[in-house]
Parts: sequence; C-alpha cells; structure tokens
Amino acid sequence: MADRAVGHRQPQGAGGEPQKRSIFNRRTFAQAALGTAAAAGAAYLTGWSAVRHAEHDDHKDTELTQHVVAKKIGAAIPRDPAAAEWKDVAAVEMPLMQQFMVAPRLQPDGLIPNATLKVMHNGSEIGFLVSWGDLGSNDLEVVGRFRDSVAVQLPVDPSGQIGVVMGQPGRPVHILHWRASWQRTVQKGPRTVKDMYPNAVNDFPPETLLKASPEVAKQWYPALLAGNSMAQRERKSPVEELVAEGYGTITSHAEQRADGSGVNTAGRWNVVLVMPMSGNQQQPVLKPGSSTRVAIAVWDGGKGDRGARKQFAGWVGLELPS
Amino acid sequence: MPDVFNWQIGRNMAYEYEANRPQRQVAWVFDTNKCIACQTCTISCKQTWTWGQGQEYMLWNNVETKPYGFFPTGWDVRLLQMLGPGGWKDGIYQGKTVFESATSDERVKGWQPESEHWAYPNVGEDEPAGATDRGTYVPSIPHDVWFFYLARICNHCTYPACLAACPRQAIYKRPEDGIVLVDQARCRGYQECVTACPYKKVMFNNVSGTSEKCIGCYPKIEQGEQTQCVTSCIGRIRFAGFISAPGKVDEKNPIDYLVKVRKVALPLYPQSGTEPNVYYIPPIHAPLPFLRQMFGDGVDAAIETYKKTKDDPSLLGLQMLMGATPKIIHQFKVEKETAYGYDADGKELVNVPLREPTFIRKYFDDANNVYLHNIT
Repeated sequence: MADRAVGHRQPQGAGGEPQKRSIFNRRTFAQAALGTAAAAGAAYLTGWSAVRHAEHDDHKDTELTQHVVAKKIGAAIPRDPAAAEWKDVAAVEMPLMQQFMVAPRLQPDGLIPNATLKVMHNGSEIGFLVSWGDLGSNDLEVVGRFRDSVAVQLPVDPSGQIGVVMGQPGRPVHILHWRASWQRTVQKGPRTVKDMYPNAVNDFPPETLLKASPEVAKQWYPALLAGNSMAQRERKSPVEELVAEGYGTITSHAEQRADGSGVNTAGRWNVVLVMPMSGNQQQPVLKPGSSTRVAIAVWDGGKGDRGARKQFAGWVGLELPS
Repeated sequence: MPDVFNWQIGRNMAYEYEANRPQRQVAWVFDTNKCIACQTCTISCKQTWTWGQGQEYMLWNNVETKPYGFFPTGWDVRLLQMLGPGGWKDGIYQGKTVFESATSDERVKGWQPESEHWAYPNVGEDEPAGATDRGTYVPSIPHDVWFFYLARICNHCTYPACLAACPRQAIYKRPEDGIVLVDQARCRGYQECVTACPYKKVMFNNVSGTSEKCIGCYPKIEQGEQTQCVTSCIGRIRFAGFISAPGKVDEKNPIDYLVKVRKVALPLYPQSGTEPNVYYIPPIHAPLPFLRQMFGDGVDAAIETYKKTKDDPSLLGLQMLMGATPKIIHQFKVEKETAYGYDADGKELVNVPLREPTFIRKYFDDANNVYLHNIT
C-alpha cells in the first residue's frame, strides 16, 4: 500500500509526449499549448475583442476604451483597504458580465452589476483595490458551499491582443486570486471540520494515531502531499499567484510573492491584492512609465460561483506613471 | 459532442470525449441477495482510505437500504426525477442520459448535495416498503413487504460523468485498468464532479479543499488483489475482476460469465449513461417494476436464471468462489462438484466444493440425556 504515498499517480503514457484530448488525459499546463477546444474558445474571444475595438488602430494603448491610471506613491502599498492612502486614488468602474463562453456557464440571476478598481504602485510593488457589492460574506469552502473571491488578471507580455478569459495558448496571463476562505485561514488558522460542524469530533486522525511517524500519516492527505496550493494548512497570504494559457489551464506559480487583505463592510467587499512589479519570464514585468492592461473577475460564493461560474470585466488599459 | 456507444443502454449517446476504452476495465459483481448490511466493507474502506481530517463524512463504500435508504439523501430518486420517464424497448433505453439532458450551460445534468445530505448514511435503514395491520407471512416471491440492501462504491464508469464535468481535466481514467481518479495535484475544489456524478461517489474534502473518490484500491488491483470492500466481505457477496470490452466475451472470466453470458448481474441505473462497472445480481424478493427502474429491463430474466442457481453448476461454482480468495480470479472452471479459480497466468488460486457436506445428528443426546439446539 506504499503507493498511497504518491496519491493519485500519473497515468501511463503521460511521459511528456503530446496527448490528444482524451478520457485518459489530465490537462497539464504544457498541454494548453496544443490545439484544443479551449484554444479555439480563446481565439474566438480575441476575435470578439478585436471586432469590438475595430474602430481603433491596433496600438495597445488606444484599442481599449477605458483606462485606469495607477497612483504613484513613495511608501509601502497599504494592505488595508480602509487605509487613507486609497481614499484619493481615482477609481474606474468596471461593468461585470457573466461568464458565457464555456460550460459551466453562469446563470443570469442575482448578478453583481459592477466593481470598482483602484491601482497604486511605488516602483517596486503594485496594489489593486477591488470593491464590489456582496451582501453576504462567504468565507467557507466546504461541501456544497463556496467562497467569495476576486481575481486580477494581467498579460505576461503586454504587447498585442490577448484573450480576456484566461489568456490563450502561447499568450499567458498572470492572475492574482484572493479568496475569502484563504483570508479566513490567515486570520483564524488552519481550517478544520469544526468550521462547518462546530461540534464535530475526529478523535484519532492519522496524525494523532501515527504521531511517531508523521511521514506515514501524511499519506492520508494526498492533495497536501502532492503540493496542491488548495490543500495548504497554514497561510501567510490570502492571495495566490497563478498563470493560465486558456480555459481550464490555471496553474499555481511555484514562487508565491503576492499579498493582500479583504474586508466585507456594509455589504461590500473591499479587497487589496499586492504583487512585486519585477518578475521572471513567466511573470509580468511592470515598469514605471509603461502601460499594460488589466481585467478582473469576481465570484459570489453564496450563489454557488466557482471556477468558470463567475462574472468578469473585460480588459481596461492600465497606465503606470513614473 | 462526440457520439459514443454505450452497450448498457443499447445505443449511441453524446459524451464530452471520444470513446476510448481502457486496455482492460476493472469491474465488480455484488450479489444483493446475500448482503446483510453488516457494513464490514464500509468500515474496512473507511479505515483504509478515509480516516483523515476533512474526510469525516466520507464513505467511499456504503451500504444503504432500498427503497428508503440513501447516501447522500435521496440521491437516486433525484436522479430519476431529473432524467424523467424513460423506459426500455427491445433492450434500448428510450429516455435521456445525464449527458443528453444537460442544458447548454452545463456539461452534465446533476444535483449538488449539501452537507446535511451526507449527514445521515443510515437514513431509512431496514425501513420496509408496504405495510401490514397485524403481522404478515411470506407466501410467495416477490414479497408484499420488502426491503433489500444495496452496497455501493464508485462504478469506475466507462463514460464517467465526474470526468466529463471537470473543467480542468483534473479527473482521468487509467488506460491500464479503467480506474477513475481525481488528480490531487490538479483539483481546485470546484465540486463540479460532485454535482455531476449520478451515483454521488465523488466527495469534497473539507480540509484539503479538493474532491476525492474511491480509488478502486488500485495498489491492490495492480498486485492482482481484489479490493478491500471485496476481501473484507463476510457475506462473500462480491467479486472484483475485469470485464471484457463490448462485443467480446471470455466465458471463463467470472465477471464476463455473470454479466455477459448468463446476464444475472446488471448495471445500477444504466439510464444514467455513464456505463457503470459495478454489476448487481438483483434481489429476488423485491417487486419487479422497482427493480426494472433500478437495473434496467434485464431484471426479469436475471432473477429467473439466478433462482435456479442451486441446480446450475457454473453459477453455483461462482457463488462458492466469491470471497474464497483475496486474489483476482481471471478464469474459473467447474468440474466434478468442485469450482476452481485461476490467476492471470492460469495458476490455480483456490478450489472449493460446490456443496459443503452436511451432517445431521439426533436432536436428543442419549448419553447426556439432553435436547440439542444445534443439530447440523
């Protein structure tokens, strides 16, 4: 039974060779580069975006009808959404639409009409403050229940057209994803069954019974053992950095640098997401004086939003003053 | 969507991916007539795989009472309600599968259980259907007042709904044995698979934040062993082995023989369209309309064949081989009142007599001047 340690292991024939879209395959990030239905969908969206902006020339700064200008500050980016520094940053309102391109699609009931975005940078870090109306705060991610969350998306390479929903093969997008459930873990510690069932008892979980051999006990936590970011017990940050090249390809970055904080007050989520402006080849490099674009997505956990069941706002131009 | 052939519903159907059958397909046969709901299978599975934090409510194997038992609550009546009336004609299912009844906004028609639906695994236990004023007796089969036990694990379907529903392709079917697994490195906990599985055998881990399911005891299968739920079964109601692809039959293979040759073992709710690979010998005492709804239109013939097991050496031999060895029996034969089971290399694993010798002693013990309670 030692195989348990590797959890749910590689299927045969997954030796890195190109795989057809098949019942036997799992999607890996590299596979996203293949000509899949997802790629076709992303290409469709890029085309849609191009048609929408056909009246403009194809310069990256003029094709977008809406822009947000980051405020340059000389201090650390405040993580607190209520911090005074955020107050005088100009907000851009972003209308949210339901994700309708791929199944599962969002149902058109109870939609959040829009969100506002503020951006701030100090030359080394960039911070985004996203704010949207959500009467219920859902910070549990358990059986049949989903968490509120928000994502900020930037192209890795700011030049040219790029699909707004998860990028496209060969054109990765960088995503900052804040989750109310992760925020809860940062503030209250590792999640347990008691979060959902306060009176539940698990008297002898593997780590208790196998105290002398913690490595053996870990075998009953295959997601944790496999390094899945979803399964992490302790969290210092509620924000995850991800990369995607089309639908179904979102993948956690090996190096996590992002930070942030979210607060729900008076029926509104205000969430700050912060990341470094420098980066390697798989991350966007944001230079003061340059411009790129930004898109956002929000999930209303109380309504069952998760994954592709989300609302998003299309690209807006993002200018970074020097 | 690609068009694939589903032999259990006797026709082609729409599925998310092209048909691509594994080199061999793991399969089980459960005899409902012999199950006493002792839950030894449930506990052996639980102790092996799901005693971690976040898995408290999970029972990858469960045994529920039919018609009023469910885990999760109401899973199969909800499925039937979702699919609507279907019916069979000449072995062909006339209704829609979970794939065909999905709207364009979803990949699979499903139902999302909430935590309370998982909280009562013994709901309806031993609740009979039918009622009687002042006691009853059992003059004939099927019974007027009845219930039976249905042991359930993941069906490791040929066309898994969980796999079709996952937007990330984090679920895959192993080409070497057809076992369906959730990639624990890739799952992001959307629970789309939980909603999609018509049998509700994918479950969300509240601590890891990922979905998990019965792994078909693949470390055992890889070593030629039958699964935990099979080898722990004290009622010896189960076989685990491999089933041949549609159109192929190996008469010496116990699973093929029961499912394809004698057709006494039937899929559970074949109308789901997933081509489930746990096959049930239906209970002989429950009413046929109920059983047809649950196991398809092969029920009548299956029960008639099964009732003659006592005088049928091959069927009787297989009954005796159930639970007789922890190893997977790839081939069997019955010769001179003995049933033999063989492994993949043709090596004999076990042999058992078709009939245990019976000794009957006098009910009165003259030597000790007492009556005996147990005379066989």
